[in-house]
Amino acid sequence: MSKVVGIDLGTTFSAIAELDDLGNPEVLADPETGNRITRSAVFFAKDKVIVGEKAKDAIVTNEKKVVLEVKRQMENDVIYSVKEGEFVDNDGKIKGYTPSQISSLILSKLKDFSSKISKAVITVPALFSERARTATLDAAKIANLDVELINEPTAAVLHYANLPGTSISGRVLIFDLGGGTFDITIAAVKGKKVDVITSVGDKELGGQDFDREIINLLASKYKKAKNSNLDINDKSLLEVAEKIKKVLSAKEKVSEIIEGPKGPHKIDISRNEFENSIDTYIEKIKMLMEEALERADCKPANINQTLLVGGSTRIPIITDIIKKIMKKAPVKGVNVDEAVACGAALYAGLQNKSSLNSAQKKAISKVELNDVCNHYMGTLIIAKDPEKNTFVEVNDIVIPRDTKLPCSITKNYQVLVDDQKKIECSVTQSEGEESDVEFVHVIANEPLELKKGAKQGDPFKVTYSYDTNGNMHCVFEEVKSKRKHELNLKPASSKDLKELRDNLDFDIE
Amino acid sequence: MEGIVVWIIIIIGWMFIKNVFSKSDDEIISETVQDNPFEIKVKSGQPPTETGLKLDCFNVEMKGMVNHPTDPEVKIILTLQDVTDDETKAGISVLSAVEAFSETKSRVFSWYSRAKTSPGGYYPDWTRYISIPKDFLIPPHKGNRKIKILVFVCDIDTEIDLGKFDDTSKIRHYATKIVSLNYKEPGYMDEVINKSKVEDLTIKLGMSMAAVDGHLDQKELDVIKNWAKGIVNLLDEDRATEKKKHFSKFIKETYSTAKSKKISLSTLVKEFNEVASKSQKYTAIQLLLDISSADGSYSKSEDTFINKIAKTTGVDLKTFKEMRNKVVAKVDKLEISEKPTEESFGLTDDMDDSEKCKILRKEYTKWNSQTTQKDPKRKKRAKEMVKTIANLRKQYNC
Repeated sequence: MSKVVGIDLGTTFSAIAELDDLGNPEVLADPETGNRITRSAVFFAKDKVIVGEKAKDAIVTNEKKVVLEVKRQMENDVIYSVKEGEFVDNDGKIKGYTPSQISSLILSKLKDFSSKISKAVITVPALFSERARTATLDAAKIANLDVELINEPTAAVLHYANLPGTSISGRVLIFDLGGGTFDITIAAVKGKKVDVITSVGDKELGGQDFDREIINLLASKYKKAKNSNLDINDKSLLEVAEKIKKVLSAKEKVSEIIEGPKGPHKIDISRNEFENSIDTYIEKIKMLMEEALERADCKPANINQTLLVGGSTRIPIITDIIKKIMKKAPVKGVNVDEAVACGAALYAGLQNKSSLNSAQKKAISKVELNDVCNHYMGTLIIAKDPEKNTFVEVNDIVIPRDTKLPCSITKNYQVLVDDQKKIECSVTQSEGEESDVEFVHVIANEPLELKKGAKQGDPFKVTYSYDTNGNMHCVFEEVKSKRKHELNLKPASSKDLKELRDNLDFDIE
Repeated sequence: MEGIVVWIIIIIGWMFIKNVFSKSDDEIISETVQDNPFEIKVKSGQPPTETGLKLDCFNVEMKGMVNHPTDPEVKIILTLQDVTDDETKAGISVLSAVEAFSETKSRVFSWYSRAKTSPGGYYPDWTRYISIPKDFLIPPHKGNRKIKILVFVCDIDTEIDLGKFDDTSKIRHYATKIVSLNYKEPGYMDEVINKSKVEDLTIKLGMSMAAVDGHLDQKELDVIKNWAKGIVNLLDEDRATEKKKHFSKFIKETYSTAKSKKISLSTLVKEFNEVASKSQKYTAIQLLLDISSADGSYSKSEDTFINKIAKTTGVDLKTFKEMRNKVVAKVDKLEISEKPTEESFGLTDDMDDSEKCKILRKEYTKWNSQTTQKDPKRKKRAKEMVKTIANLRKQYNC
C-alpha cells in the first residue's frame, strides 16, 4: 500500500514521519544510523553526495564542498559554488547548485527512510515568501515527490492537538524556534479541531544565529589572549559553537580548546556571556510575541498554553522569556524536534484519505484544520495623497493578513483618466500593512487592455479568491465592457524537471 | 515627477476655474429664484460632540423651506467661493484637500446630501447641516480670506461640475453666508504665481544640502540638474529654451554661493516657507533626499540637515519619515546618529517608555519583512535597521 509522509525540511535538521497502521504519526529513523533527525548538511564528494551528519563531519577536510543552512537561501536567486565554497549570485556564468537542487538531495535522503511514498507534505516557515515556497516545490519535484506545503507551526499545533490523552485546548501559542527560522502561531484548539488565528515570524532567527554569536565571542577572546584573529567564517567553528551552546543549556560555564593561527587556546564562556551576546535576538523574539498577541487581539492571560517546537527552545533564557511574558511556563514533554514532522504526517493523511487504511481513517476522522492567509495580498493603484496633494502609486490591500481561508474579496476602483488604454494588473504580497510600493513584493504583473473610449471614473473591480490549498485566483475586471484579466497563482513548481535537475546527477548516501 | 503631476493638475485647474467664473452664477441664480424663504447660519469652532470631530470647523445650520413642489426628495448642495476681492460678485472656487469634500471629477470643494421632503417641507428650527473642517479648505491665495458659503436646495437629479450647475432651474432655494478664514499656506493660485521662485529656492536648498558634508559631489549636482531638466522637458520649445538658460545660470551662481558657504539657511527656509505650498515642500524634500543618497551613502550631517528642513517647513513628519525610509532602505552606507534615528522612528521626548516600545515594535515589523529582499542593499539596510530597533528597545527596557 502506498504511503503518505510529512517532512520537516529544517535549516539545521530535517525529519520525516508517516502515519502508523493505527493512524498515529511516527518519525522514521535513518536505517543506517538510527537517528530520527537528519542533519540538513550536504557534502559534494568526488562522485557522490553525502547528506546528514557525515556531510557535516566532512567540513574538517573539505570545507568548501559542504553546504549548510540551504533553507535560508530558498528565496534567493543564488547558486552554491563548490569552487568558492559559498552561495553566489546566479548570473548564469558560474557553475554550481541551486538551493532547490541542494534541498532536493536532503529530501531524497529522507525519502529513502520510507518506501512507496505516494504523497508528501513538506513544512515551511509561516512567513516563507511565494518565491521560497516555489523553490521548495521545485526541490520536491527534483526529488520526485508529489507534495503539498503546510506552515511549520500549524503542523506542530496539529500534532499537539492530536496527542493521545492531550489536554491542549482553548487559545494556544506555538513557539517554534528552530535552527534558522522563528515562528509564532496563535490558534484556537477544540478537541482535534485547530483554527489558526495568526502567525508571525522571522526568517533569519534561529540556533545558527546564536552559534555565530558564540563564534564572535570566541574570536574576541582569542584575539585578546593571542593578539590574532580567528577566521570567523571557518565552518568548523560552527560545530564548536553548537557544542558550546548545547553545554550551556545545561551548565553555567564551558571550556573549549580553540585552534587558531597562533596555536591552541583554552577559552571559557559563561551562560551569562552567551545570553548577553544574543540579547538583540531575544529582543526580536519579545517583539514577535507582542506582535502575535496583538494580532490575535488577546493578552497573555487569554492564552491557555504555550507549546514549544524546535531545538533552540531548549536554551534556558528562551524558556525564561516565555515565562516572563506569558506569566506561566510552557508545556513540556513533547519532542520539540519531531512535532513539526508528525503534524505534517497528520496533515498528509487528512489531505489524502484515500491512501489510508480504515484504522488510519478512523484515527484522523475528527481532525480538522482551518488556516488563515499569512500575508497581506494587494494590488498597485494610483491614488490621491491628501497630504502631498498629488497622485501617487500605492499598494492597496485586497486580502488582509489573518483572513480565514477560503475567502473571496472584491474591491472597487475607477479608471484614472479618459481614454486610458490599459491597466497593470499587479498582485502584491507583504508581511506588514504596507501602502508604500517600495516595501511590498510584486508577485505578478500583467496588463489588461481597456475598451476604447474608457472614461475617467468608470468602475473597475478586483477580486481575489484564496483557497485552503494556497491557490489564489485574481480577477481584474473593467465593469462596463466586462473585459477581464485573470491570474491563477498557485503554489507549484516553476520549471520542468529537466531544467530543474540541470547538472544534478549523483548517487546519494 | 510628483511635482510635475501637481503642476499639470494646477494649470488645468486654473484654466477651468477661469472659464467657470467668466460668467456669474450669482446673476443666473437671482434670475431663477424669486423668493428665498431658506436661511443658513455659520458658527466657527468645534462641531457638536456627537460628530466625533475635534477640528476647528465652520458649522453650517439651516432653517426654512426645504421643499419640492412635486418630488419627495431634494438634494442639498454646498459650495464655497473665495470673495475676498469683491463680496458682491461671484468669487473663485475653493478647493478641497480631502476627496470626500470634492466634486466627483475635480478638487473643487463641494458637499451634498439628500433629504426627504414634501411640497410644504419646512425646517422651523435651526438644524445642523454640516461641519466643514477648516484644514480641508484650499483657497486661491494665502492670508485672510473671505469665503462665501452657498447652500442650495435643488431637484434630486441636479449635478454640479467645477462649481457650475447643469441646470440652474433645478435650484429651488438657496442661501449664502460670508465667513473669514486665515489661510497660512500659499493658496493654489499662489502656487502658479510663485512657481518659478519656488523652483529656484528648491535648487538653492538642494545646493545647500549637497554642500552640507563640506564638498559638492558631482553626482549630487547631477541630481539637481536632472531635477531642473525634468521641469524644462514639460515646457513648449520657446519657454523651454528660456527656462533652460535661466536654470543653467542660476545653478552655476548657486553652486558658487554654496561652495563659498554664503547661503544663509535660516533666511532661505524662511523665504521658501513664505511662498511654497505643501506639495512644493514635499517636492523639495524629495529632491533633498535624492541628493543625499546620490553618492550611495546617507550621512549623519545629511540626515540632520533634512530633518531640520522637514521640521521647519512644517510638513507632516509621518509622511516625511516614509519618504526618508525609502532612501534609507536603498543606500550602501548609513551613518545616522542615534538621536535622528529615534526621531525618524517617530519617538519623541514626551513619550513614556512603553509608548516608545510599541512604536519600535511596529517599525520592527516593517523592517523585518524587508530582511529577505532580493536587492542586497535593501536587505543589508533592513538588517541594520532591525538591529538598531532591537538595541533601542533594550535601552527603553521594553
